[in-house]
Amino acid sequence: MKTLLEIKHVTKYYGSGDAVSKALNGVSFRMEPGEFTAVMGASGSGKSTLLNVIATIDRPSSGSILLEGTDLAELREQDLAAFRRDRLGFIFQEYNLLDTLTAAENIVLPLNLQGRPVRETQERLREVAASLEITEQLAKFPRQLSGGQRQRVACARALITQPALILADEPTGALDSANSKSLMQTFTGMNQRLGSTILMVTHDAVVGSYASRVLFLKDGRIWNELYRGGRDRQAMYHEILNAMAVLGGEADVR
Amino acid sequence: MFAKLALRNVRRQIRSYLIYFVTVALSVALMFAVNNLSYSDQVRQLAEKSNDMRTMFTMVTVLSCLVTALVLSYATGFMLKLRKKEFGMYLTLGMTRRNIQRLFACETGLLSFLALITGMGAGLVIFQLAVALFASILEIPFAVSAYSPQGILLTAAVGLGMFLVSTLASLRYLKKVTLSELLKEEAAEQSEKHPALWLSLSAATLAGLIGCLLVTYQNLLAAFRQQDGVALLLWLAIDLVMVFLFHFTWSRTIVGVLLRNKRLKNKGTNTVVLRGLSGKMTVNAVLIGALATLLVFAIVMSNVAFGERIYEEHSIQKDCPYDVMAMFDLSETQAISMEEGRQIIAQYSPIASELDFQLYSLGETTLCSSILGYDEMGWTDKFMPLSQFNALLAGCGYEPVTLDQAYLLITTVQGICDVDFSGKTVTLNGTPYAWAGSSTFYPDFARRTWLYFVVPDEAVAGMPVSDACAAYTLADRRPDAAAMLEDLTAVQETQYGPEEQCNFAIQEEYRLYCSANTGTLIIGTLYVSTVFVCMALAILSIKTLSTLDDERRRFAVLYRLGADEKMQKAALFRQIGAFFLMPSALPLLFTVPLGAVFGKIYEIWGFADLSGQKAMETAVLISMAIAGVYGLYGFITYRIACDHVVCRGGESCSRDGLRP
Ligand SMILES: Nc1ncnc2c1ncn2[C@@H]1O[C@H](COP(=O)(O)OP(=O)(O)OP(=O)(O)O)[C@@H](O)[C@H]1O
Ligand SMILES: [Mg+2]
Repeated sequence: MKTLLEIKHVTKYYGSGDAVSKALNGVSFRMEPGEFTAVMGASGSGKSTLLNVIATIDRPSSGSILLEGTDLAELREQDLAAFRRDRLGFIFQEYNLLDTLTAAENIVLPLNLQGRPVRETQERLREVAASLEITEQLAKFPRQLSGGQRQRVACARALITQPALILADEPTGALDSANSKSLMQTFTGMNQRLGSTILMVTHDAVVGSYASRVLFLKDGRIWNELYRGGRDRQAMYHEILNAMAVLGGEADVR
Repeated sequence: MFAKLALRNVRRQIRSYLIYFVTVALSVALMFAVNNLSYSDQVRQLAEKSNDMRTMFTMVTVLSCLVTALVLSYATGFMLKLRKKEFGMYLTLGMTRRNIQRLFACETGLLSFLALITGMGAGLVIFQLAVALFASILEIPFAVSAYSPQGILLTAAVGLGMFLVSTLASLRYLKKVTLSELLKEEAAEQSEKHPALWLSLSAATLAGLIGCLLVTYQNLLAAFRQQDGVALLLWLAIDLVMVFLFHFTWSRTIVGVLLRNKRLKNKGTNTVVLRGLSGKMTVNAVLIGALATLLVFAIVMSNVAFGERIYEEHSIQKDCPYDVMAMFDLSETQAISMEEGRQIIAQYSPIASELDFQLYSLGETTLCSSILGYDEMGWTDKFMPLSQFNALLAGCGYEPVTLDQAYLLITTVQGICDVDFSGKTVTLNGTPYAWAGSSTFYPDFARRTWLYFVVPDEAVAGMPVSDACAAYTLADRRPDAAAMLEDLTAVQETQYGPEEQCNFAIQEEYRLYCSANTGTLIIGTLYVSTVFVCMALAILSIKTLSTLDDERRRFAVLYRLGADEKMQKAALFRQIGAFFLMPSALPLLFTVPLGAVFGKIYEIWGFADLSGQKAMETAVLISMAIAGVYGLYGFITYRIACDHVVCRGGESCSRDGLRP
């Protein structure tokens, strides 16, 4: 199978002159279709930046990102929009829900943008809402939802299109362990049933242990890489904890 | 420390402050511009002559003050909302409520005062410029006083009063409000409450509006037939109220209705557009109602102004169809003969063409005697040969008349026209002539006679001439009419003593006379409607621009979900377009019935040739002009919004775009 995503020597600088900060400093890795990868690292290590660069929301300062062999930098803005709309599901760290829309309207918005028929939209809404346990909340506006409910609405919006590539920035940050678990089960379900490729940022070793591979970022570089191989989740969890301990005191274990 | 904090905050939100400042200054400017006119000497004089005028200008003043007060209170509310969170933060940091109140009062006070002064200055300039512009477009001589003290007083009073009231309300709010309420995110969404109630209210206002318009129409016809305008003005006021209520209820209802249509809602960015509109329209329902009222007022007023102008030009053409008209009663002695008159006229302008014609009379009253009171007036039957009558008609663009052994009564008096002459024949040169009809339709060619009869040429053969007349067309269509008239007037001894006598009528002089009388009305109404349209536009675009920051965050989300530039632009266009259209669609559509009504009025006035078409054309033109200005303004607003809101990728749309 063709490599889905190839990140080559990507750097991202913010600011200019003396005040320049390197959010990403030469990151390279590949993702094959159907892979489930977690990204871990201290706060400020560049995880969100990495996801944003891949999602074509930020442009890298140098290096290139290839999607199925095509350099994203060569695509027109229109094609990039189509890529985000049709292939990508992004769960944002700040949720990015539209405050004027109800939860249901927020969730189906990507399908509306794709121009899907109403019936299909409603059916998929029912499914995804049920699996994330937010059916009761659908008529509410984001302001009327709790933090965790908001996060699940954001997840539902990213997953409803059944995207080929899911980018998730701390999707369980505001969830309790039960909700985290059911979200992770949804993720693995999509990964196994639909073959969705997932790249997920997390601080939580338990959540990370669902992934088949974990990338550790430190100061904008890939510091370490863990493969699950044949291990079960329990063993993976301990591997991650070990790696985090080595990574240093600045890793905030929750 | 707090002063520093506050100052930094002002600098950070400079755009919002600017919007506040411009809104207040602009609405004050427009109110001042209207008040200046309403209290100017010209309008006062006009108002003294006519009760209707006074009522109308009072309505104008009240309307503009109301709208300004509304905008001012909105503006203060906007400022408070802007700073709520910041004040909450100051309170948590240990500032007292008293400090915060003082800060807010000082800030808005200073800003409003500056805006008031700026607004009055701008209003003065707008006033002078607009009046000068209209006077030159309509070629009406119009001199206005530079400003009016009452106008200044009223504007300052309304401005300051409104500022005081709204600031006091804000201060009270700041005193009572809890900290958590201050810190809470402002609700941007609108869930429709009682949708069924609002829908039925909307239906009721629609029915009410249509009903009121029909009643007004009946009153209008009655008023023009019986010259009684009081009930009409009352109904017009009620109509304006209905227009307001209609727009108020519909702007709260319509988006909710559209949102209930699943198919429509689930298409592309429609949900975002509709939800955005729903919030905006609910919050601005009162404003939309007020703006629609202003626009209806403006459209009706400009139609009245142009209708008046059309009526005037038409009646000039009817009263004095040629540049100069002469008529000499040969039984009187003349101070200035026709030949002398011709020489005087030629001094002012070369005579391009001259049509001589005569009235013939035997001094009999065969036909006249049918009219009551003919003997007291000393009328006799006067005849004009058909060929001369047709030549005169041709000169003013009328179709020629044919007569077959018949006579045609020509008069300018409806009462004479209504007299029944059937069965009355007159025998001239041995041939009997029957009545072909009576008409007030034709221009007044023989202006010193009440009536005359047009007969075939052979009927007057050998009859003595009673009046010698002439119609001149000048090379210079706009001579110095006042001076010419003076030269053509001479003092003549009559049986009642010396009297000024003039056997000439000058069209240009008629025009000057009319302009002096109706100029104030025409320019005044046109000016007021322009100001109203501008006011509506300014408020709409400022309202749109003040939400750009929130809009920008929403569109950044759309961008991230894969809406490209084109989709975003289309969404923004629909959103702004609908917001602009809401208060203007109905007023602009109003044109069609309005044109029909004016056509009907012309008919009642007896301008059969000034058919409904002319009225309709005028009404449509006015609306197109307003729609043009409106569209242009809306488009500019849209372009500005595009630059600030639409995400095109690159740095501006990165994560920063989402941070509030
Ligand atoms: N717009 C920006 N301008 C300047 N610096 C930025 C900007 N965005 C991020 N940074 C910097 O880039 C670095 C990486 O930020 P990033 O958001 O990717 O961290 P992160 O790993 O997601 O952290 P967290 O776990 O706290 O979300 C940080 O040092 C941050 O300060
Ligand atoms: Mg992050």
